[in-house]
Amino acid sequence: MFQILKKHIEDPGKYLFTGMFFLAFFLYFALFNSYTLSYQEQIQLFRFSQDYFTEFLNRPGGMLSYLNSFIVQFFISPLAASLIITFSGFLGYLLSASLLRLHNVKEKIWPFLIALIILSLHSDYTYSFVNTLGYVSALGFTAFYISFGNNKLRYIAGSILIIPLILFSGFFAVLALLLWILHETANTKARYRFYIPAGYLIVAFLIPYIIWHQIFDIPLLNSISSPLLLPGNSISLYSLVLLFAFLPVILLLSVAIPYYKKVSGRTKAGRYVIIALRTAAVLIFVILILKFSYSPKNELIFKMDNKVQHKEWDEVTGLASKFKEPDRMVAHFTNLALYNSGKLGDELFRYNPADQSFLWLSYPEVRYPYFFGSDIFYQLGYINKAYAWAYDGMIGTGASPRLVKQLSLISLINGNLTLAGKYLEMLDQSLFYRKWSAMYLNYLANPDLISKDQEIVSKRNLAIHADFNGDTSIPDSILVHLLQNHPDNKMAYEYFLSTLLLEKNISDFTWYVNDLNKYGYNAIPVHFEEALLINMYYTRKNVIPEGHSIRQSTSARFDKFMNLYSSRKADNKLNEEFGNTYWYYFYFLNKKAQVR
Amino acid sequence: MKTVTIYSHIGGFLFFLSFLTGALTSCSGPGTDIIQQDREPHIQPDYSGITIPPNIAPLNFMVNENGKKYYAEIRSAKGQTLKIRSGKNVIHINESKWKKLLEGNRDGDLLIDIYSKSGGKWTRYKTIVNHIAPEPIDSYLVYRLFDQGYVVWKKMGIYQRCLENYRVSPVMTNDYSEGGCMNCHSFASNNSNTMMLHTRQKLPGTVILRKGTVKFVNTATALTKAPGTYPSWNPDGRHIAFSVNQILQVFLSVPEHTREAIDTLADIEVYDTELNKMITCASIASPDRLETFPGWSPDGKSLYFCSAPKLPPGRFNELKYDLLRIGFNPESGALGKVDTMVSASRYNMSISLPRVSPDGKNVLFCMAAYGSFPIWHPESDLYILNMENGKVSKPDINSDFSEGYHSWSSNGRWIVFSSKRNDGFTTEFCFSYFDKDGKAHKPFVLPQKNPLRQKTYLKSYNIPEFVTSEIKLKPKEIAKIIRTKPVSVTFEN
Repeated sequence: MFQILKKHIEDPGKYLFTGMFFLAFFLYFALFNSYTLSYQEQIQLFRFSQDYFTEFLNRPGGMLSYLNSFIVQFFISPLAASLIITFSGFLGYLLSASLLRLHNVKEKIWPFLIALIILSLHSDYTYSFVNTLGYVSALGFTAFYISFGNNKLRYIAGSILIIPLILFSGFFAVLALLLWILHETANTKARYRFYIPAGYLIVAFLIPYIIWHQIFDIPLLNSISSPLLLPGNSISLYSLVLLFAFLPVILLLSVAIPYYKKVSGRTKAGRYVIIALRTAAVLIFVILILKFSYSPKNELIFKMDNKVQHKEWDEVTGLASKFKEPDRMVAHFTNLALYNSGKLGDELFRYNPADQSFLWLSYPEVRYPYFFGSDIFYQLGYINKAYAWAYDGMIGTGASPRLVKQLSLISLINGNLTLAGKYLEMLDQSLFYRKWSAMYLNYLANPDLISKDQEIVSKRNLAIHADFNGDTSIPDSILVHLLQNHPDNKMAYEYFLSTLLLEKNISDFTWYVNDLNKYGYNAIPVHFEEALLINMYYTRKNVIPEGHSIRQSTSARFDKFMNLYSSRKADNKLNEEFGNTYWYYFYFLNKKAQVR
Repeated sequence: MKTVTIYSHIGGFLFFLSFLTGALTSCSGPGTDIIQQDREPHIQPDYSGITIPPNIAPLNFMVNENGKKYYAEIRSAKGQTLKIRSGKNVIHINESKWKKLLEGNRDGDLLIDIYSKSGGKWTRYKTIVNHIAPEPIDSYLVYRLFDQGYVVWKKMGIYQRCLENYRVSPVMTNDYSEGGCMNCHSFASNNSNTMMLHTRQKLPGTVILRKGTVKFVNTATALTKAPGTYPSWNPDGRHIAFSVNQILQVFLSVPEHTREAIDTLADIEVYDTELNKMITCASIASPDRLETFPGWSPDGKSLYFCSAPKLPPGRFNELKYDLLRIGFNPESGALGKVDTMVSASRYNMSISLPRVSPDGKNVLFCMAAYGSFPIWHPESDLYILNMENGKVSKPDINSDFSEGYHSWSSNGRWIVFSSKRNDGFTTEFCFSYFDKDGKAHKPFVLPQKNPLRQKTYLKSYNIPEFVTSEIKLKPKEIAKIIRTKPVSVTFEN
């Protein structure tokens, strides 16, 4: 491995391609996948604490998982995340190149393809870095093992190394052992070359069986497979299998077919063919990655989530406009951004809501609804529900900074300082959230400060006093209760009116829109005007809230819409010109809704 | 080979290291230039003024006083004084020395002197005086440990903890049941050889260990409404009373009350493990009442339970359960007549989880404003019905938060109960000494090897049951049996 590295350094020109390749690798993540990587950091909370550490020791390969969590905490910086993944890919490349060279496999494309598989896997948000770490550590252990040229020394080293290998890497030791065995079979002529690998295999099985299955009572399958984490995406699953199988297969082929040892670089034409084949292989891989692994949609969603977390509302709506198809997660983020920038009543229907379920997230339509969905209830002042979702999110995905922060705040809002202390202590044990928790830990020591915190006070002012059953699948019921508890809850009011519009419940909308004045509206939001015009069109009654009027421009547009609609000949034109209006939603979308 | 958690080994090593560090960083104990504080030190958990069993694990604790060094002396009338120096605010007590001290001083006082060093000066606090009870506590506590989510759970298991040390081993974990839920372990007279537990969702059924054999039973029949839920073993080791519940969970919105589990149907049945037969009668399975939470008397001839008139789910906050008792003949399996022991209307509260003391003189139960799920009611407290004079009293062991599931030790001198007193959200176990005069003493929480753990611990403990010896049944054996087809019980009304 070091020889290859040395050559790279000594002869930079020769290895320009390698440099370019990994620069592109890095840029791919830094420019197109950084939010997907950052999401990994958001679903874990690494803590410098003895208890946290011992939790990892409780399972096979726990040290590797611990190291994984330690490294992933740095994914908080997209640049650092991209660098780490690039470095992992480079290590994968370097170690596999070194192993292949040792086995006299001269084909240079294989290590690049391994790096590309790693790149492909990290394009999927369901893929865990622990697998890459396990893979690289298996190659590292193997490189170290093979570095002992003397057979006896290597066998002694192997017999010693196998125990830390299995304890550290768990399942990933299997890959290392497979490579060790292949190495022994292919490259040595020692008398015991078949017995020694058999011994390794027996030890590899016995250690998890005895330590984890028998002593620690972990099921055998878990004892053997931990800490491998299978990705949720089937393409990634195949890619992971490919990653693990790749080197052993190549090494097997190198034994079975001496082609690789002979053909490479014999003639000039042969060399061109090889270069063409290499280029084609890389291109095919890149195309496959772009087609099957890279998801610009997920990257955009994670970017939206990131912007929501940072309250960059205009960025959120800007990103939302890139989605042409309705998406509940996108709608959830967009609605939050629209409300917070005072545009919910003006722009809700610009972002393609398909029906009333597009107001907020509810179980189980989306992956991790609790993780992403608790924010809305927190902002609405529905504290019990926010806590329940954040806590369930934490159970589902593990302790995560954002959820622990929210649980800390909610506990402070509820006046439960002991519980708040637990959450804050967790954050205090982290590297990047210590500062955030320090301020609130100070509150615990000086509780008078709590009543001076505007955020906490504003949420305390929205505390529920008249109880109700909060089934989140019926948003209008929840919002009515929130309004009954606190008629001044403007966010609940706007969300409630939005629900009525999405449900096409024009009569209730018309009734409740009369309260606009209580919330300090200077003008009627555009979608509200559009709904009122529909009502007036059918009832011929003036239902405009007192002290307000409908803009001339809205009335004129409505006339034009109705003319086109009545003529029944211009559906496409209607979509083009009025696709962003409530009228278009009302007449053409969500057909299942019962108009009231 | 003994089943132990990794905490015992790794944790032990780390504690040894921290002990060593503490010992190295501290000088010898305080000299004579000491500031005397006329108050007890703030320690966590609160192990002051309590009565403890002579066989309990060391009560390690944190000292919540400013200081850079700490020193503690633990002594009693007889034996060696334990001297502990620490560079941190955590006092770890040597297990074997602690054991000797307690054993040699049964029914005596245990005195703890704590010093903290700050600004170069040592401060000594008022001596903490605890008492060592003459009667031991049962050696093992069996409980369920899980993340108490609202709709989500992940890791869950039933564990046994040796109360004489910190050793924890799994009885069953959901790693072995495809992630399914498990609950309601129960024992006949604190005997770990006669036990049962339910597995839910995936691989559902009831595992019953009795007379050295394990069987897997489906307690649901075509005639009953659901499988058995809350169990109670008759001390005869043959009959198990089950409530059969259909439970609806609702999520509430006021900060002090987050959720409620409502019985929409609830009856009681008695399962004869020898005849594989379920029996019931109209008195405990009335169609217009909800009967739940069975609990046997120590002679096995009376079954206590809770009962309330059935109401529509929307009126769940009007459900008030009375405490009733029905006669039972263990020989014939015949059920007798019903008596009302405590009427809920007398207190305008709802009773749950009646547990009769081993001497039959007291019934310990929960009372909350309404309903049958005390752990979600902050106002739920423990009460005692004195069977000799019929009086109900509220022992001084309750907190402002929920007190829930409880059980008696085999000698009747110790009560364990789950409580949310620490943070109002997670449940932990508290132990109280119940003396011969029927007085429950100030409770103390389950001792932990590392008291610092509690600072961030969010898992919930529930269903504490004392057993006198270790459960020998292993998760692997339970895993095997729950993969067989459960035997269906027969039903007789």
